[in-house]
Amino acid sequence: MEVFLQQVLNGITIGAVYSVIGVGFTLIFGIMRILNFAYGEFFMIATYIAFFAYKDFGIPLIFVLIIAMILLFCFGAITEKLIILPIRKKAKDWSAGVIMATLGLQVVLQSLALILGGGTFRGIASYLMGSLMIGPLIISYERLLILTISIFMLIATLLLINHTKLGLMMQAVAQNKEAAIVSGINPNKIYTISFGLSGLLVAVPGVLLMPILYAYPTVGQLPIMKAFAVTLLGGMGNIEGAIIGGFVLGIAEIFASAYISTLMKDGIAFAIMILVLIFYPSGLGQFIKRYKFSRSKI
Amino acid sequence: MDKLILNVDHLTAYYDDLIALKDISITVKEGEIVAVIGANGSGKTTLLRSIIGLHTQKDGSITFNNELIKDLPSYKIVSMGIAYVMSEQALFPELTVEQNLRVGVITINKKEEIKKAFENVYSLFPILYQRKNQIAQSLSGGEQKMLAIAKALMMNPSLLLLDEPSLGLAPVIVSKVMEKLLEINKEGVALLLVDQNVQQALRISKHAYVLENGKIVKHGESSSLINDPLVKKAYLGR
Ligand SMILES: Nc1ncnc2c1ncn2[C@@H]1O[C@H](COP(=O)(O)OP(=O)(O)O)[C@@H](O)[C@H]1O
Ligand SMILES: [Mg+2]
Repeated sequence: MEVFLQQVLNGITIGAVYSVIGVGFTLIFGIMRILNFAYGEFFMIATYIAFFAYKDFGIPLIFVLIIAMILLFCFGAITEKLIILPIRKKAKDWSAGVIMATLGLQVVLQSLALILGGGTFRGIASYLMGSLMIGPLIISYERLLILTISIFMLIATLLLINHTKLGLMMQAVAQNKEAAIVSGINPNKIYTISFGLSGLLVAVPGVLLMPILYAYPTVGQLPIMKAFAVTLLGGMGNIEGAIIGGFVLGIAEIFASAYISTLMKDGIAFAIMILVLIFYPSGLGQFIKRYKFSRSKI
Repeated sequence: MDKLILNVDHLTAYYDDLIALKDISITVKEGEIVAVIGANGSGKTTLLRSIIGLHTQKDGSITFNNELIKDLPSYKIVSMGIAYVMSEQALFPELTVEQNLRVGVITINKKEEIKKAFENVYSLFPILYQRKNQIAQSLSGGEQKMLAIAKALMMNPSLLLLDEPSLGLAPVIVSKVMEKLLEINKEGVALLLVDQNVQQALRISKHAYVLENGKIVKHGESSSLINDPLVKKAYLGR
């Protein structure tokens, strides 16, 4: 029983991280109907920012986090303005073109990282020592911090979408672009901000997972795989679905590696994803009554 | 009262090689109701989309209150006082009635103005107040139409463009919608209405234009057009 509870706790911690990663990814699909294949590289940039700011400049972790969030917001927004907006302006049916462009950006950013930083793994052993005991359960302070900040980010995202003017505009553009335009909303602005928010969200695990995922040119591959899985599990573009999907994936992975084999970790997780999709093609998010963004199926 | 607010002058609109509107000129005066009638595919929607800026392949001139709006983006045009009610898919389906209306005032920052807009719209459409927490797509067809009109009114426009307000509605509901439009007009809002329901459109409008294959073939007082042999034969089935 204690082992079981411990596994659940570990699963929830990882799940919260997956949820944040998934929400940042699914947000873009929900609003723009595109997949950002360079999303993992947004994460990669955050890991480099984290390493240099924390290790070389000795900036306290919380400020490193804030700096990375701001920089990644800007990077996301600039990516949208510089690469995606020009394609959107030229092509009427721009989904495919934009997706290809983000694929290209993924490779370019990886190469740039390799040229500038070489193939060295840059990471730290730990930024917070010690553990908290809750009865028989144990959680390291580091994991507790990751869990707390991740959950905070999820709540903040939900509040932003459901209870602010910006959130209402995002929902309006996502649900009916032309109706939003004739209500006085400039969708380009919303797209740019959404890309920024996506970058901001993925910066959080990029920084906090510093002792686990070291800065490296291709470190983004793992997060984007998880982002895909979580997004599909939750239903494409469904924020609440992605949150549920993240926790389901996290817990499934922990149990798969604890009770079957660590080798099965990713396999089981994706097997669950496929099973869910067979029975619920629009993901777990279909149990959410109202879709804030896209209702399109995969 | 006779001030010209909308002036569409020699407008031609394209879809790449296809010419959808040929050299169209239309005017709307302050507080007036103008109808554009025409069969399916005659170019009515293209005309409204050209005015509001959603359709960009066009030549000629469009001015609103003497300002050239032809090449402005839609979100700027609407802020000048033109609102547009699309014939279908005018709403945000997953938002509540109240949220839909709130999007209508998204560009307004003054709390008082927003409150006034809500009061105004809810007193005109009490049914929307009863349904304010319901999701837009769960409303009936007639209620959705009312909400689409109400959402446009939230922007406090001086000109309202309406694309087929009677489309897909039962005759009883059509009459109701038309009565609401007359009420809105009484408040001083000019209406430019395009419709296949020629009878209703000519009944409530003062002036009307007849559109055929992208060209205006007739225009004049609605009361005289309703008795025009050509109009009778082509659109009223008499
Ligand atoms: N998106 C489009 N692409 C190409 N042609 C179009 C498009 N929309 C409308 N058309 C054409 O333009 C003409 C006018 O259409 P429209 O303005 O929708 O007419 P109406 O609203 O009177 O039914 C029609 O011949 C129609 O086929
Ligand atoms: Mg039409």
